[in-house]
Amino acid sequence: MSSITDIVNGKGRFVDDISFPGMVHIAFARSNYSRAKLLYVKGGYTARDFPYFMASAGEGATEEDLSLRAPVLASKFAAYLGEPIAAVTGKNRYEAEDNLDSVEIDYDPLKPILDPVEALNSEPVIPGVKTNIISDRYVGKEFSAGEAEIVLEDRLENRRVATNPLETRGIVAAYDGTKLTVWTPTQSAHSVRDGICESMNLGKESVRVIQTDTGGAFGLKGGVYPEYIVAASLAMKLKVPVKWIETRREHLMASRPGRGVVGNMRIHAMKSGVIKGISGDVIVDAGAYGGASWSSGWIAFQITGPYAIPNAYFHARSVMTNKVEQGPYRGAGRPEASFMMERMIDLLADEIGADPLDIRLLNAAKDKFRSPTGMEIEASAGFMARAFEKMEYRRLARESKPGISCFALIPAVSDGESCRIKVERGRINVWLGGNAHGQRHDLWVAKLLSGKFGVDPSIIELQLGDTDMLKEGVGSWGSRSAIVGANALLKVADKVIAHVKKDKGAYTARALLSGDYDEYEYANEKGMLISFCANLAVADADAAGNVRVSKLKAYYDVGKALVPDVVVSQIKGGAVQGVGQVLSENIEFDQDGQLMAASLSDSGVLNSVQSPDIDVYLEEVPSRFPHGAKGVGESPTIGVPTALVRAIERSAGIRIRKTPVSPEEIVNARSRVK
Amino acid sequence: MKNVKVNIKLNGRKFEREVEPRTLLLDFVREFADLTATHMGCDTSNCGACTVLLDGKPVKSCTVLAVQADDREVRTLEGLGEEPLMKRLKEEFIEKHGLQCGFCTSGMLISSYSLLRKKSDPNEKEIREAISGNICRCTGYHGIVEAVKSVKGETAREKLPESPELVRR
Amino acid sequence: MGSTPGKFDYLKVSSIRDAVKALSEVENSKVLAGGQSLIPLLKTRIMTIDLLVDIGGIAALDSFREDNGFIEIGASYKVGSLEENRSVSKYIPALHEAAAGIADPLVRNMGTVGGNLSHADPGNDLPPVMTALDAEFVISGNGNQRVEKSDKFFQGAFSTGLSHNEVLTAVRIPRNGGNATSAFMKQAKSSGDFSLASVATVLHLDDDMNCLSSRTVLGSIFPRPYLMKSVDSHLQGKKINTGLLKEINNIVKNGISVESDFFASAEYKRYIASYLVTEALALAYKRAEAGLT
Repeated sequence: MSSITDIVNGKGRFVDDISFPGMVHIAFARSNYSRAKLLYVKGGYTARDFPYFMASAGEGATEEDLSLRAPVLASKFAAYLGEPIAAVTGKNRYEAEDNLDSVEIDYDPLKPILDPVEALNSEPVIPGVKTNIISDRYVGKEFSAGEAEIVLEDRLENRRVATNPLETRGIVAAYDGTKLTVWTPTQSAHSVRDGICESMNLGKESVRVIQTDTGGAFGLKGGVYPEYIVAASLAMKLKVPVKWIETRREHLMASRPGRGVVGNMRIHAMKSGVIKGISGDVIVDAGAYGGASWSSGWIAFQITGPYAIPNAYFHARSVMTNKVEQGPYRGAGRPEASFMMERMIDLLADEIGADPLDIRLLNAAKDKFRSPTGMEIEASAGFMARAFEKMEYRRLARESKPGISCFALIPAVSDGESCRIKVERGRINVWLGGNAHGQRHDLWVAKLLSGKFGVDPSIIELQLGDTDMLKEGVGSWGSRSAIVGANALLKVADKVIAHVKKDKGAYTARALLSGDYDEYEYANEKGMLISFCANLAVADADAAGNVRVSKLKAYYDVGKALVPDVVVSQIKGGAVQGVGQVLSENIEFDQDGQLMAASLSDSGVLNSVQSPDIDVYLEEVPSRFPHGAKGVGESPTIGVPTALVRAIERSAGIRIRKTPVSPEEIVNARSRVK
Repeated sequence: MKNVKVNIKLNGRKFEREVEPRTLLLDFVREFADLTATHMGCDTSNCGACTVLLDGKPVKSCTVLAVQADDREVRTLEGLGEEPLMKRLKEEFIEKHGLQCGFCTSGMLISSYSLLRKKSDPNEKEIREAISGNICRCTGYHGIVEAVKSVKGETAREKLPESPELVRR
Repeated sequence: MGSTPGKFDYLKVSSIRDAVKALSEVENSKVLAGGQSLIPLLKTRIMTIDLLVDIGGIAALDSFREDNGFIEIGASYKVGSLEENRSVSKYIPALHEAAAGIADPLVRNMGTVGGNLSHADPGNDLPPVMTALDAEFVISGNGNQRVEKSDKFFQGAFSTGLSHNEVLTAVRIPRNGGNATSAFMKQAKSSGDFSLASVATVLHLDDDMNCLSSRTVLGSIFPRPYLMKSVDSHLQGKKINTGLLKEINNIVKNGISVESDFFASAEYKRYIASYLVTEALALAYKRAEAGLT
């Protein structure tokens, strides 16, 4: 991995920096329509050359019915705007793009179905299936409204958001006749390898995936994409190295964006503010094909968050539309769930005239609590009280109109992570299944390992992901990688120490460094790790509807902060993504299915002038893991949007039901209220 | 379509090449000169990961043709490495967590450098405005602004020798 | 899915005459000034051209000249230079405000005044300001030079009165006689940096701070800058105060006929236009009261 010094010196090795003699560049001819029959496709490499399908078919697919599996290259039908149809090559980017002229595609455009609610009952958005619903389940337990004195309903929505890492997707692939080597920026070298192997029916030993310096990911770079399969196939077919670098426009239309959920929520409560139950529909805009069935049930599972709500029952569905498949975006279901809960609890507070903090405290878990969906939390009331005292909510509430939020972060610790430590010639190399791309895992690896081994941290080096250097691995996502990575690291370090003891009788740093040791372990992990977090925001909207965020605060239980500076930096960066989701980030289509976000700025990513700072307070209640850490990465994208939406709502005197909320929507809502 | 000869003084060194007129300065720098600190982050002229100095002013090299830089001075991050001000900025970017993934960093450094060259003691608003053409998706900008703040004021002219071509307008 | 321009020939000219000649010879040719509008378009490959005529080498076009009667800004003068020009910020605050709000500092360092005007993107900010300033557009063509006002220059979205073989070489802004003041305000699209609506206003006041004359122009709402005569005639002879601004607000809101599009509803367009007009007028007037212009 390039060191941070290499990076500031411009010596990072990102995927586009990798070049080989004779390498060719790939460009893709993509569907100009959101939904169309393909009458013919001529020129370039097409599905005839590479008749592969993506590995993941989602939960709706069966062995016999593979209609839900996305083709690597569309041949008969284009199911979303930007779907790859043919690939061409050239000796550089320019020539590859020139060669797109050689591809002819004849379309028979059909009316696209873009709205997930419409898609619930519409004709199928792709051929070969009977319904667009790819995941349909009831989560929690049915209950009767019975004693509730108040039932409030609302329709809530998070529009789709592009992940927009500054470095887009990209891949270099080379084939030596027996082994395919792939260089790619990724959150998981192993999942890219497994995806390629499964699609192309290759043995795992015949594919090596090496992570390059990774210019941001945010969920985008967790898995494999059709373009990667094409690149791998072309490298094998042409027997020359190939490169594909995604353009930003391709990113906005054809990489997997996040969010995209509608919730019709009902909250059942007493006049006192005690919440008796929450129920409703969760409808996820899964996009085309069956790969994105994962999130609706996951959202429903965690809606009750840090609250002890005795009844919860949700109808969770993922629905196909004529858009690119939805993917995880920082938070991945957690912000959506919290948006549903926090919007409803604020609605209830307004209905009964209660203070938003009082109502949260009233419904916080006073003791361990198991939600009707099976989510087990510790007592949250004490945390909430501490959080809002530290963030000075009561004082701020007297002088302004702060919005607040609370949530329970569930990092994806399940299934654990792998680690390898290799001691050789007085140096220590480390590989993790969930590697870093800006999270500075190098710092905690050096800190924990130098402490454990009693060696100078400068001889420890964290390596990038590499499937040939590490047998198995999961990946960096879901606020997990430091928790399970550090756990695996300490376990493997123990193995190394035991090995040294066995060899030398006793462990000393000198004994360690004078020998060669190579230990690996996959540290499995079951169960959940839940921490509580809270946010506060103050904002106002001017007469034109433009929002100014004047205060943002975070109070998060991060467990033991492995590297406190880095934790704070993660929170600050994530907070701006959260603000972006509320103020501007979206990728909208017009009614004909043409993408209206044609540039990075159109897609609403905030610049330095638009970005507020955030005050961060850390609470460090150690977790059950030996290192004591809990999750961090996704927290600000969960708690900032909900607190900020509330702050805007209060200052503008309107009800906000959707992100993003545009200046026009604020003005229009305000004029309706008046 | 005819190629044209361009002569660019890149990081103080003359680079003469025949290029297709459509060649972007970004690709000239990366492909012909093999200087890869300058990145392509978007092709929509927004992100500023491709920022270089053209005759001392920061521009987006993805939106400048190499032919437009003919007979002119171009500096990339590699060519500013020895500038004391840039060295200080790099130190502070690391110290203040002015980067996470690092993809935007060379552009951010050049815009920050350029600001401090023009104005040695900018306030926060001026810092934020100066880097507003450089998008960072990781840090929320806070660490970057803090890094620039901690270098500002150190840039009094007499303390920092500089290459003459950097101040030529 | 382009990210690189298609092929074209390139000619760097050293005189306007050569530029006009080259443009006359090749039908599918384009003028390159700073390239900040043109190059992004070429990169999408939505636009392909045969010849690019680079006027960036004509030093005389990168100029700013103050004369008794007018200020002349050369077509290649950089937007960033305009932003930093002290004369402009002091005497024509509207022009400074517009320049400082275009895209970002990096784009402004390359982007030119002539390019921003000739591209005639409805979302661009210099067209309404130049219209409010009653600027003259100096155009060179085949063996002749002509001068047009804004109403002839801007003909529609991305459409100007320039013939294919003509080049905008400069804009001339009449020097403000006596007590003049100006302001520019915009509302950017909720995502993105182009204007959804903008307003430029130039007020000429008498010694008692009554409006002698004014030019108030709405940008971005319509395909080309829209001079709001009903606003200007209502201002005539009056002092600007809250009551008058309320009347003006109604005049704008009821006086423009707009259609909803993807970016905004007709209702919001009317709202934001009337809001910006009153805010810009108030700002310009406040400047005059403070003796700032």
